[in-house]
Amino acid sequence: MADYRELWQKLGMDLEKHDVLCEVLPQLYGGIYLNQENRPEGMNYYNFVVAEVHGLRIKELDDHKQQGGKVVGTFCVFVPDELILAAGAIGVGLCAGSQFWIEDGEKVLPRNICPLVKAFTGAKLSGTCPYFQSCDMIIGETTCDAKKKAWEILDDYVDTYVMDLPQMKREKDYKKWAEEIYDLKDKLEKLTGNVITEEKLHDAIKLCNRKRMALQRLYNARKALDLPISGKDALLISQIAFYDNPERFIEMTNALCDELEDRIKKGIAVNKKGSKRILISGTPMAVPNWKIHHIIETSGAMVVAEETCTGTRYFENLVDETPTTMDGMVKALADRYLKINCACFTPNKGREEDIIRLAKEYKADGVIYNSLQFCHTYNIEYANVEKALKEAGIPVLFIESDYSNDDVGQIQTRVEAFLEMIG
Amino acid sequence: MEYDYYILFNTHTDGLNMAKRLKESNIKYTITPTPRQLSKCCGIAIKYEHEDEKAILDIIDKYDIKVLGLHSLERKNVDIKFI
Amino acid sequence: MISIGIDIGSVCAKAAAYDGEKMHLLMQPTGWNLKKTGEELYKKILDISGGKEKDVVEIVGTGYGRVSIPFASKKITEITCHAKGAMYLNPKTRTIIDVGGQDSKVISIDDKGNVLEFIMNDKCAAGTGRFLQVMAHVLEVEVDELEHLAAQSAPRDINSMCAVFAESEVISLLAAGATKESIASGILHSISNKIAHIANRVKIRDSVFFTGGVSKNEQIRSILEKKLKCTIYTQEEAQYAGAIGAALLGYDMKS
Ligand code: SF4
Ligand code: SF4
Repeated sequence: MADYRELWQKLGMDLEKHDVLCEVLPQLYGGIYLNQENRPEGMNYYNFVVAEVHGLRIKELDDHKQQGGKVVGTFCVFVPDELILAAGAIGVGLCAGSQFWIEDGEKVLPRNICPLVKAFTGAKLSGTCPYFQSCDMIIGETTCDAKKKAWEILDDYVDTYVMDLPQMKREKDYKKWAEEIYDLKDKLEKLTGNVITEEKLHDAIKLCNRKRMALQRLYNARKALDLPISGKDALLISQIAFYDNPERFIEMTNALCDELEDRIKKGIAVNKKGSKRILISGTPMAVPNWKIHHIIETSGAMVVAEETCTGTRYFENLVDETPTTMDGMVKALADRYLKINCACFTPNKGREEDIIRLAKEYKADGVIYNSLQFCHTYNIEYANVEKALKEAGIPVLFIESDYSNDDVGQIQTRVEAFLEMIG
Repeated sequence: MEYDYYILFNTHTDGLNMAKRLKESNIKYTITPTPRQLSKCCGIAIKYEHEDEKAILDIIDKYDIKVLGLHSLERKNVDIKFI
Repeated sequence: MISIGIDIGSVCAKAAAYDGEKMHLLMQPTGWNLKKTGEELYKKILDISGGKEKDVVEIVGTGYGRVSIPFASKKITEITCHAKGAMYLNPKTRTIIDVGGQDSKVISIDDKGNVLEFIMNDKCAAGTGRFLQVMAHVLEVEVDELEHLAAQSAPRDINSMCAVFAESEVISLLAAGATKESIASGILHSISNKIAHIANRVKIRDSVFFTGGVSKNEQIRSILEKKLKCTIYTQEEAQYAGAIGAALLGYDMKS
């Protein structure tokens, strides 16, 4: 085991507090992941990434910085990775899925806001996330109010750039989003000192598309009735996609998919015959938030897909690769990204259609709508989603929860009752 | 009492090297985070089946893989607590 | 052939034994040793039913303590069990309002006792028996006395539904000289409000059946009737709905 303490120290981390995190994570991971039966061999790579999550990848970021490169943090699937890569920077999606950071977040934020926002703020304030500590700049967006205002607080701790995301999808909103992408391009060029050329951007677009295709391939394998991989494992892979080296991630994920497709041919399954298939829909699940998946999959059902930002919203729709001019590519980016159906938008009928379509594609027996506590947009949007699902004859269960352990028993009962109901 | 068996390493490169050799020899293994009881640092370990120990020692010898040793740990049922 | 249902709630543990004709019932406090309570109940209810160990075809565990009954042959959630049990007690039931020691739920069922939809409170204590317990404690009375006290006065407003905030509200009301009677009445209105709030999220259809420990409280039932604009029934055995349902489901599985 290489010693990363020196590196962590250099990043200005609170080592003592960080130790506490290092102490509990392997156990949590072991209990949730390593006890699963019949896991694909290809999961070894992701085990490796988790084991080295605060080690090797941080070292890679550091090496990049040593050579004058920049690291940029993002929090939302609307922020185009393509530009970050084209500027020669490394983008990391900042995970904030742990109760561990809530207390520190609540030092500066009100208690009754979404745990995701409290957690990422707490992670920065407490200096216990080496990814956050490695960032030269973070890119926020004006999605929900909680995030919008949190940027103002975070800006005291790290250079924070905010993209103004439209909240409607009219012609002029697409234009505006393209302008925002241009502004981000300027900002990234200034930060890195690199010019984003047409060629570099085109390469980055192709790279990100390849990553999306690898994830699409993974999710396609989950459409099989004999599931070659658990929902938990698939979720983990989506989560890792946010911060791993893209080329390596694509290679390893495609290798895993070879194995999964082979399993489907041979009928090797991780699920029991007749286990219920569940589609998750709702707010993002950042590492190490595996709570709902774990509850569902230990209650005898399987998660077959996630209509979330750590799921289909991250990789559905590719960026059109035909344009090669700057204007053309920026427009292609704006078009692809603004197609994402997040509850921050109004109206948001597209999301209802997505959920129904996904439920059918993945042959789901029911939908579990999961919203983080105090996430107004997703909480409110449930009313219409519920109506649409009922009309389509798809059973749905609503769960509002945070990262804590307190409500696990309650949720377990609800999930089990839901499974009994659709059984 | 049941035990789990782990190989520990100095660096992840050694660990990955080992994993590669195990795969070639069709020996079942799992890469895991190093159990805290065995170390203070984050990092990787390889979990293996006890019956493969002899073959594993041979591989270590043959390819001169640097390991920090083979360890066993009593298997405990831990309650999962989300953090 | 006997099927036994054991419902371990947070306050009371209930057992039912069904032999195809008769339903035998038993209740005791849950206590802290859930496993022991479960075993005791099993032995006693078997005795009461007059059956023998070898006649038992199924033991179904339910309630929040269902995981602590290792000898149960099946575990089924209290939601599914309540639906079946309520149907048995009153076949006209289409909506169940169940308020127990630490949770409350509203279940909508079809004419066969299958669950169509359900809502459960989240992790907070508002709208559960726990709320009454905390409040009774502040007033220094027993939970059972609340009803009697409340009957004698108009309610004082208690605005917070959250048990923690309501507790401090009650303390300040006491300090301001409000009578225990008016506060007790306020407390019953407050919990009813919260229950109604949960109930309003499902479509309420006749007949509405009130179950769980809190259903013994006649005043809450009548406040709820006014709030939900419907007639709400309850009966002596309402607390046993979960255990009865568990026994019935076990019986159905074997016959
Ligand atoms: S839920 Fe909306 S705001 Fe949050 S990450 Fe996803 S797209 Fe962004
Ligand atoms: S989950 Fe909801 S409240 Fe939280 S950051 Fe995302 S949109 Fe905002």
